[in-house]
Amino acid sequence: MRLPALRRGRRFWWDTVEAYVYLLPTLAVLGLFTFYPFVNAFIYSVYDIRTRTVPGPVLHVAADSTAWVTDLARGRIPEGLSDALRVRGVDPHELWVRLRQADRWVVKDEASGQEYIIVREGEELRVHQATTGWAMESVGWANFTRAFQDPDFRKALVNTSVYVGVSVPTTLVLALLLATLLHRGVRGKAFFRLTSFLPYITPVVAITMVWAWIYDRNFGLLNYFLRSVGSLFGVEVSLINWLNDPRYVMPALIVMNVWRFVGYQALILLAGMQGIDREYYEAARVDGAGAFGVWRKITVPLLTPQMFFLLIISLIGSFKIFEEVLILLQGPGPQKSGLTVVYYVFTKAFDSGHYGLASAASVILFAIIFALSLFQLTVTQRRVHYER
Amino acid sequence: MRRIAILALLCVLGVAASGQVKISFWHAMSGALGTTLTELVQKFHDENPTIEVDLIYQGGYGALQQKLIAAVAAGEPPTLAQQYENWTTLWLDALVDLDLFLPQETLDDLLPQFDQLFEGRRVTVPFNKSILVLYYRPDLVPNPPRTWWEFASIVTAIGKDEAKGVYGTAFRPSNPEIFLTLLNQAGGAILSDDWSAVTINDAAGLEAAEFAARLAQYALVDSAYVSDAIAKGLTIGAFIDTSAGYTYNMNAAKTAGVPLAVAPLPCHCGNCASMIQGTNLAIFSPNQTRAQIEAAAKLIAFLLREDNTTYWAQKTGYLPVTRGAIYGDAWQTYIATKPEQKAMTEQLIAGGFGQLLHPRYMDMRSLLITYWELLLKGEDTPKAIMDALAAEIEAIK
Repeated sequence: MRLPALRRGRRFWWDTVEAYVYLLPTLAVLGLFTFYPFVNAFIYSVYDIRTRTVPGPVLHVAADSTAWVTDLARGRIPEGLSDALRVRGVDPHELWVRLRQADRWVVKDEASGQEYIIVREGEELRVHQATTGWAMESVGWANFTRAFQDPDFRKALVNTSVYVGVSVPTTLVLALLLATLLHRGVRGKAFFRLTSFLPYITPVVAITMVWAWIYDRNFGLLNYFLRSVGSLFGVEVSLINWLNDPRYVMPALIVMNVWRFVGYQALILLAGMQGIDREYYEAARVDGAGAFGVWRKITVPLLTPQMFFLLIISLIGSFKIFEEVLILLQGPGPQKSGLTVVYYVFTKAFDSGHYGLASAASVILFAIIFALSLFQLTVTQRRVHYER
Repeated sequence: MRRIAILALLCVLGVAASGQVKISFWHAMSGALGTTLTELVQKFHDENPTIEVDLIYQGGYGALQQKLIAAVAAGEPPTLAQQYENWTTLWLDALVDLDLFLPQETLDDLLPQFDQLFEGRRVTVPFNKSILVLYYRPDLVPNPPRTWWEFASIVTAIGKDEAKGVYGTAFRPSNPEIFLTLLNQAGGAILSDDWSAVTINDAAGLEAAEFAARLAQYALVDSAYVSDAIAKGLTIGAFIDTSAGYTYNMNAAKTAGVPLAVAPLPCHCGNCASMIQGTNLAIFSPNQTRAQIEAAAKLIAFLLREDNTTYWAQKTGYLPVTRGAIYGDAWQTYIATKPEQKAMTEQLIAGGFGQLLHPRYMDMRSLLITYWELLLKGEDTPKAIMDALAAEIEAIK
């Protein structure tokens, strides 16, 4: 196959190498912190992983175990073991017992750091070379089955779907309205633009702490506001336990995150609106279109590339909701009403030590996000209008 | 001559340096607790100048657990670390049998309440231990309840008025240790002695669940600490909480301007059991030399020495964990003027019991939290809840 003339030139290859050199730092960081864990999650998902002392090759078999067991139980190295390991170049004086159980003992060679496990099998004792660390045992699809059978995982899937299903379209619609208002030239546009963008650049921890206070049952701003409004109309509004009542936890999370992202999305849409050629609007007005008609028939269709971009990134981001749950609810919430898939993955891995199960759950989440993104790219994109 | 002197000095320094052992100690003790631990470690270093202890604060318990998980997975754990029982089961094989390294008199001095064996092995010793006790408002409850029924009648009498912020008692759904204490007092357990059967829904389990459900009708059920509620001005008649929360609860009461006192838990049919909480110390084997392990064991023995464990308890509010310390003159003199600490000490002696050392206890505890919350919120009958809980434990045990 002949390469195009451009690719044959020395300049092309030099430029290519130079480009990769520039990309190298980013690729290194992405590779280390994104691709490597990503690939490992797939691998771990089909293993049962535990910290164990795993027997390696058998080095010696002792037929009479009585004397050995007595010595090992007292933390002493049996003479037979010393002899068996001496012939392998181990200095018996460097051996010491570190683990004793009824049917297995672990001995460490201080000189090399090598461990040996002595396992009782019937009347015999088998001496194996051993390693202590993560032991991975292949379990096939068992972790995936276990995840789907776990009521907590199913609950996490439902909660996350509700969160995504409500928060993504709500944020987008509100952002579109906000962008329209800002575009129409309201007074103090710069101020509104700044204030609506502030939540996005404020650290999520700070935001969540403030909302925890807003949602407080007894002293929160929200209940105070609701009671004040109620009293204006002579209605007694009972205090709502926003973060401790399973009915309100998900709405509380959704409201907080809609508020957090609506400003950012509005700015993206505003930039899109400002980029629409004025000729379209003038032509529409000449044809007698009203303000709402222009917005519906010109602005919204020509904003679909930006809306499509926001839909994709907010969908992916929403499926990964985690910090808000951790900080606002300090757990999965009452009756696990705030348990999301990423929170489930986190607790299974770092609380319970079920690394395989946690990896399987994260692979399932990846599959869901991937399928939805693919669906959006293939189906939704057909409705996107690119200005030509 | 001068050159020879310098050479000799260098040799001496070199020999001294080669005898040095450095160990790492990961902990989660912040504030005053961390300061006291640092003091004790400095004292240890003064007594053992050849042992250097790298004392590393790893953040809260959650952060410590996550860092230990990562370190064990990487094969580079610290020499010594604080850990809960259910963490220990995650890396049991990576730990050293402590009875091979600790002096027998140190082990013999431990209170029987802390006698814990993991699959037949002694891999931990108690360190910062607390116990569930009863906190009560002396202005509302002049005499603390001594039995379940006295407790129930007090809670019922105070009642529950959400508008006024008045509650007979308070429970945290994320703290199922209170239920496990009631279960133990009723004579029940999660599993049978040989772990072959789930017994949490037997007659004793049901009795404990029904009692808790009865109290819950008049309780503030909230995920936040009870001290937060007290500080906000809510009235809680009497509630069960860990002795480690003493400072927080007392400070909250001070903020709210209300009195608060401590008493041993109400008992049931003469059983005054109370669940012990807090972490233990364990020594890791991977990446450690025998000299480091021996040095870490020496530090443990030092921390468990009567004078040090008493000092630790006095400074931190945790309980002494050895016979020598708890019955020693120093501690007995100290609690003679501190009724709250006396109540906590009496509670520990009367019936402290530890966590179930089952390898799946972490998953069981997660289920306990789920069903404890359902019970507290009256989502179903106690029997239906206990049966469902037992079925789920059966599936994972």
